[in-house]
Amino acid sequence: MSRIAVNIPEGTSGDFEIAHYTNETTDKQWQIYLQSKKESHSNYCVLTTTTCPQPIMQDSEGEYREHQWLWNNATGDVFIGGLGIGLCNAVLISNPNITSITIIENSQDVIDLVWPHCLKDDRFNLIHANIETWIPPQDSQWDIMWFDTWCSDNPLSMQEYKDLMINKYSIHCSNIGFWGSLPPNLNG
Amino acid sequence: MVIGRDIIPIHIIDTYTQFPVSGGGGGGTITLATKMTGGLNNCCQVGFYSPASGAQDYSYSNGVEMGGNSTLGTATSPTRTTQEFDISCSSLLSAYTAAGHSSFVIIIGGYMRHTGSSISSPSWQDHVAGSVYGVEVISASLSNSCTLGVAGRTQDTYSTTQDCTNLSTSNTSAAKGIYDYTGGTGSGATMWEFVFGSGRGASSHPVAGDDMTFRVHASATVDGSAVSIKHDIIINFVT
Repeated sequence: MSRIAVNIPEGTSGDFEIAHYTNETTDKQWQIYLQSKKESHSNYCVLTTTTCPQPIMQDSEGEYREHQWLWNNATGDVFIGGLGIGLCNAVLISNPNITSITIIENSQDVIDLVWPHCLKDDRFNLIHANIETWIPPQDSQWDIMWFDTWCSDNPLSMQEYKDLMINKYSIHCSNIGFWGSLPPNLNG
Repeated sequence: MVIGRDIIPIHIIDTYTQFPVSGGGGGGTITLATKMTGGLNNCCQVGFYSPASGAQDYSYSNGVEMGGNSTLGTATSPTRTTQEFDISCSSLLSAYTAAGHSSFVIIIGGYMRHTGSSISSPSWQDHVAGSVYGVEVISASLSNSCTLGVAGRTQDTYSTTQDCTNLSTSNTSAAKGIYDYTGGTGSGATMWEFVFGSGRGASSHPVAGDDMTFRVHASATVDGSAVSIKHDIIINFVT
């Protein structure tokens, strides 16, 4: 398995926090996460919000695996829904087949905490907007679109969110992927 | 309930009906049943067992399914018996809320009946490709990032016995259907494990419409001839 560790400093902004957890951090929901993903590392960078009991993103092996569709398909002009902890930046910056990377992030707090510290080059462009309501510039087209903005506090179910994104953005791209959308890893 | 075009529903209670099994020339066959006598033939015991310390029980499946809620049938290509039942998502959620586990394991048990005069080498651990012991995942449609993985906590004690009907909840009892739960380390000594989705703010659960199908492979020697059987367990998640 693979893992990409990110280096975002700890901090709090509004309802969001970047924290550095360990495998011994005594938070029940964090321990459930580690168990569910069979994680074995000692240190993690996590993004939390007060509206969710579990971190909403972490630089874990499970996280890397749940982005595998993106790693496999990223090429040309890439659209990313969700900045998170900048994990996509850390991986995609070394991909020479990518022309541009447009990232949409809804939370100014997350932007303030992460964007100054995450990896990026002149191919990266950040837009502060709600992906569920944002109107892309007319005739915009991307080679791939990756959606990872759904969290458990979203009033939409994950499937409803996926349906909404497909309906809204499929005219801009024919190759759309979602976080965690790979088939189950039956070999554990 | 979903019944494929090649599935013939049947309801058999305390009846010993034979379905074709592969191998052998002596005429003796095997079937899987919930108990040694009585119970249901062509049916297994199925339970979702919480493996974590404390509250070890089958609450995730609202108890052990003994066939009373199952629709039994047969199917072809390959020839097999089928067992289909529903799991309530609300029961699953209640059990999760009470225990807060990240996963549970799928325990399968039963009794290997035969029609010959003698049986030997009973086995629930045919290691067909993709199986864990003799249990194969045929399909799994699970929402919200829930997955099936494997858990390595068993050893081979019971999977080579005819009687695997003990689905104990005792921490000190090793028997959990075809699995010996004492914590084996042998290769292949694992079970299927359902893992709740997580990673975006909370643990997540399957929804109505999700389903899982497991295929149990069992074999034995009956009256000197090798025979085997396949049994599909189809679990539908409902509201």
